Amino acid sequence: MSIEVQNVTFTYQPGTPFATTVLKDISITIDDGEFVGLIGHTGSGKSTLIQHLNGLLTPTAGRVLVDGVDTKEKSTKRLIRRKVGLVFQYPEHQLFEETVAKDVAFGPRNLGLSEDEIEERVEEALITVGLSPETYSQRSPFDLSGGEMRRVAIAGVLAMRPSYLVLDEPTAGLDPRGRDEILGQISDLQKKQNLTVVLVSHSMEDVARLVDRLIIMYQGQVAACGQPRELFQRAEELKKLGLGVPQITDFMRCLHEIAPEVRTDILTVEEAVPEILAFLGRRVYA
Amino acid sequence: MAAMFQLEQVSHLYNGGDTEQKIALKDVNLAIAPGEFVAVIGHNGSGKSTLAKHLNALLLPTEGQVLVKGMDTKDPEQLWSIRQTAGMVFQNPDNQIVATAVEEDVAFGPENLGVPPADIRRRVEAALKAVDMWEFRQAAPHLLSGGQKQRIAIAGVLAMHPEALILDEPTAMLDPSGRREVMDTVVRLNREEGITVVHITHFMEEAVLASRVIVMNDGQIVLDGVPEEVFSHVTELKALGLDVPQVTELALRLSEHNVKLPPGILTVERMVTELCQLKSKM
Amino acid sequence: MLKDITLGQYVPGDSLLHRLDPRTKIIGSMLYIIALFLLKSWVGYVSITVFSIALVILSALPWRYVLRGIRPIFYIVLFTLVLNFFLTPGEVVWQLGPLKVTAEGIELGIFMGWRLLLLVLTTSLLTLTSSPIALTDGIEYLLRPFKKIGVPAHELAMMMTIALRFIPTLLEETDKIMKAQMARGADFETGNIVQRARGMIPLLVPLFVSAFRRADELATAMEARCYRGGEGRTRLRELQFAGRDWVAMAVSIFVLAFSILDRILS
Repeated sequence: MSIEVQNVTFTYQPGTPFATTVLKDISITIDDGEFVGLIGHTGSGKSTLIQHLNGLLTPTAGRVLVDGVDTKEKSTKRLIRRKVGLVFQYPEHQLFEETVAKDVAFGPRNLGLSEDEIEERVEEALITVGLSPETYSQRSPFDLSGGEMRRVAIAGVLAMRPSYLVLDEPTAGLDPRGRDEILGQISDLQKKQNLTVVLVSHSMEDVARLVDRLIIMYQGQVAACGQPRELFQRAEELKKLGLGVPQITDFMRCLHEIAPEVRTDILTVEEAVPEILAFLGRRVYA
Repeated sequence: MAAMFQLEQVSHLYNGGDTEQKIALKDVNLAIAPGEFVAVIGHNGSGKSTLAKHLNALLLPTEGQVLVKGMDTKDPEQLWSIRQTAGMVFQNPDNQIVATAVEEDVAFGPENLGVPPADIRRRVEAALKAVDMWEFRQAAPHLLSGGQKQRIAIAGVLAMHPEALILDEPTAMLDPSGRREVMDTVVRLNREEGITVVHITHFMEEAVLASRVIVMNDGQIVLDGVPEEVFSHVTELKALGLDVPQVTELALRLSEHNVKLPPGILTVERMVTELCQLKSKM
Repeated sequence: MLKDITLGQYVPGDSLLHRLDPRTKIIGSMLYIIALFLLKSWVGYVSITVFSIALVILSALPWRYVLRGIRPIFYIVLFTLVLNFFLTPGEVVWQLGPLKVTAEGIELGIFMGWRLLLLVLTTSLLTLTSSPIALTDGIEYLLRPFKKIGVPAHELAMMMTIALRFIPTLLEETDKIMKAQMARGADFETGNIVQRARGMIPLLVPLFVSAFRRADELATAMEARCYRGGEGRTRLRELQFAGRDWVAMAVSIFVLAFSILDRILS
């Protein structure tokens, strides 16, 4: 089971003077249970690519297969939208119902599920995003704080029980606490339910500690692909793509220039501590 | 010299959804001198935006008083003079641009002030050049990037010839390159033009650029000092749900292992230097 | 993408028509419309057609842009023709059952249809050669004298500017919300009218909520930039009549006078 993007090219308004090719011959595979980070600066084609994953956009050339089913297939459109849950940027802007419960139920209801099943899923989804159904179900989504609204919107996608969850900058505009809560929940979900997650992010610190594999986009193409530990070693290359590395990685690289014995493939502060202690010749206490 | 902003025992109450009154600011005392670059950080709901809106009379204190260059924000006679002195840039770049062309939008403020047309033209040119957007003067705002739009918003304020710039989370909705564009512009305006800056943010990378950092929690100021001092309170900041630079956190973790580093290390360069010094002493 | 659409149909340029003051163009267009409806004779129609063609040439716009404006009214013109052909009483030239085509009908139909074509062709020159900003400014200036009788000239112009500014933003937002709801299984394309109308709720509610939020934030931002209505406001661009505007006005008045004469004499 996987999403396969095969030689996908996408052109907006083909055949008009406004035609712009935003994806150029992209081929990637997202495997079952993987946590993939998608990075690249604005305009690199990330948003267009993720809309291909659930068939909201279909390729001008090439094809996208979700568990072997072509997204161009009209008859399976619903199946694909259910399998691949897509959370857009600022998803709280899509809330519209009178109560939180009704809004989260919108997706499952569109799937034609029974009332009991819908209720069960709504409850489960709200718990997953850390909102207790008793306190939140009957409240108006428009009375909530920004962070809470964001979580209700994410619950609305989770309630469809997708096998793949694609999130476009789910923490944009949130404060550090709100960001950590949401990322923690996504990470838990991915581990516990073996959900496949594609996370679009601008934060190198966040992807460094969360994802298994990074896909870097640049000008509509995949510029690099690999484990964060390996990719962040190539800081100069990333810089050319308009991207940075986590501060801690940058620091280790700078120290490495003076003290070559220091490792540079460090992604978090936790990893850096024993390394620096060793550099200073201190005993490392576990 | 008169303070640019002087807050005396300022409290602000507002009506929540119900009848209960919520406290957004509690007994805040604060003085900001001309030319300062102050970053105000705090989690959402800490009162930092409410504080910002008090600085140009968009909100008035329930108790206490706010003086902008000695002008009381409660005095309706001074209202426009206060808003011209302390210009404000908001979070959402789309919702503060009024006109359909960049130069028309930058002209909006001076037009409201009744500045003669020839003078407006000069101001628009100077303001757009100051934010490095002169070549976009004819562009339609909706086709610009987020960072460019925020620079237009800054130019719109500059064209009113303010003495202070209040930025209410101007980078919250931007990508890293947009954030960099805006911060470069703000830092330059502060250093080169001497404009007082009050920058509200929750990105600590931006706060370290300031000359003074104020941390808000529950409507009160909990920390106030130079960045090196404020960010040395790693544990307190983390408890408030705020970030600290990774190297600052590293310094804290190392101190738990008896590695003595001076407090307030914020940058990679400084950390490297300090560690090498420490090593050479051993 | 939706945000790439151009508003109005303004084609930037540097022709004489482009450079005319928007007020001249607005007044000129009004006089032209009056003249068009006063005309009665074949000579009059031919003359004003020649004049209209001259205007298009002066605008230096490609003909296809100008003709594109006519396409939407094609059916209206056709309808006018047919209606006049059959419903005008007079000398019958052709009959099909109860339907009679009269000679007077043919003449009237052609006049009416032609009039409509010229009307759309020439007035579209106004929007093709003036930017929305210029038109807004022009309308504001022209309405100023009516302030005394309560016409909110500045407010109307401000509303127009803000609408023009936010239409692309809201279109982009519509696109985004629609996609977000489609990702949750919403269907905007199938079903009967009632189902489709209900299906619009998940799109319209968020759109309104967002529009109100934007309006609120924009109002605050405008206040922060010292906006307090039109009183005491100056403008970056002050409209000023140049020599060419006076000439254009004179030509417009001449066209009107010609049509009045045409009506009296025929």
